[in-house]
Amino acid sequence: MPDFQHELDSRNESCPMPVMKTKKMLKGMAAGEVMHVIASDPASVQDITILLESLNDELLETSETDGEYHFYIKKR
Amino acid sequence: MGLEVTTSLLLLSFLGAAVMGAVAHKTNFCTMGSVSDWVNMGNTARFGAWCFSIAVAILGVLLLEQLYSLPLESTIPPYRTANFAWLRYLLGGVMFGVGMTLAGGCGSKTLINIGGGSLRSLFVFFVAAVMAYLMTKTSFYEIVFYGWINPTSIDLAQWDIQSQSLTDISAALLGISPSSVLHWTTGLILFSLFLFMALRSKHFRKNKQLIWGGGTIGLVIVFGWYISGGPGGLEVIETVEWLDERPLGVGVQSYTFINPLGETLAYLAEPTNTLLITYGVVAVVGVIVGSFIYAIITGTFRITKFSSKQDILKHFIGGLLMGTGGVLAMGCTIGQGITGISTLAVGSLIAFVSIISGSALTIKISYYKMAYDDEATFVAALLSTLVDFKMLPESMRKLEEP
Repeated sequence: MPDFQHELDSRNESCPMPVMKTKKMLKGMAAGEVMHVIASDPASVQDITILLESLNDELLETSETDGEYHFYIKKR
Repeated sequence: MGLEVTTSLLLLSFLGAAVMGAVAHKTNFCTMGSVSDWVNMGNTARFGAWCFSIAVAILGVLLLEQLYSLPLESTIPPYRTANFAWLRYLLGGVMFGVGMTLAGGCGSKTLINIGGGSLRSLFVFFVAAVMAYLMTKTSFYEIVFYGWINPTSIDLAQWDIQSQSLTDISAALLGISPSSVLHWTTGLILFSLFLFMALRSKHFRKNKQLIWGGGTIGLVIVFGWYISGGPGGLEVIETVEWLDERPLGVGVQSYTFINPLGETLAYLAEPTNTLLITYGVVAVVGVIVGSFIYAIITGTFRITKFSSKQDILKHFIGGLLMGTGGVLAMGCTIGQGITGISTLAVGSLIAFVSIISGSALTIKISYYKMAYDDEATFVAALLSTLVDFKMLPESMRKLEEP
């Protein structure tokens, strides 16, 4: 599990909130910083992947445990 | 007796809807998501899939009309009606677009999410169903909307225009008679337009899953038209005419998901009255079941709940607007957006654009308020959004784009 400086708990939030909040947090981060996103909407996996492609930020690690999706994202 | 006559038709409707539910769940086909991806991330893959499904449906319906004389002049709802209720399509579409964004998905997505375990979407289902029921089965529409909306409707028949199909309107504008050649020409032009909108998206072109997902959903809509308006469907319609007790909702139609929510509620209130089991009711159940089966097979079934009281309120308002707007617009993102447009009805195109506009506005305004930590007023966010969409000059911007 990577170290992170920012965390977003988006559990029980429906589309498009998780991706909008991730985008907002990423915009406020410095290059090199890492954020941890927790979501429960299965669609968030694809949504966040698409978001990172558009922002050119890096998905360091992703996992799923008991219906919770964890994303570790590095701002470039 | 009524249910026996329609059993095969209902079963086929259920199967088609189940395929739609499973495929949409697997491919993440989502009309609201498509607007969100476009507005938030500039990604048009899912919008391309929606356009592709429309293109497939248009071509399929043109072929059905040619091969089976599919009678689209009187459908459920009457997409091609000469009573051109443009304000209903516009206002209803915008309301629906706003509502689906607040509710986290359109009518069909709500059902897909229920199949995936979302209690939020189950709540939205009931709210939207109550509004759809009020709009279609009580005098609610007459009291709230009819008096001021109906006078704005245009009766195309006064100019000898028989329907609001692109064919008849084009014929009138060109001063010629509608013909099969003109019908195919207008149909192929619209097909090409939607195919172009799909294929111009590099995100869509690269996404095999969305290509077959969008294509399959388009084919399901064509299937829906065939089973109700092809040879078998017409036989059912004719047989039902002779029954003393007729099942509701028998007619030429394909998939749509807001009016059927109201029909489903009506059936749940009287479960022993099998005459209330309509094409739409089994479609609602079919989408949920198809999505549920996919979720169970892939191990993605999850019970998801509300995150806060504000979340409950947001979904309540969303359901309210979806149920009201969806009936006002005579359909949803599937009902008007694919099924309606496949008939070449101009009103369906208005509803389609209005739904997208309502959703895009809501997404942008929500993002402004989120980016400015709610310090941005609604008016400032709205004006800035309209500037972003090039609908107002830059001088009217109140907030810098986050």
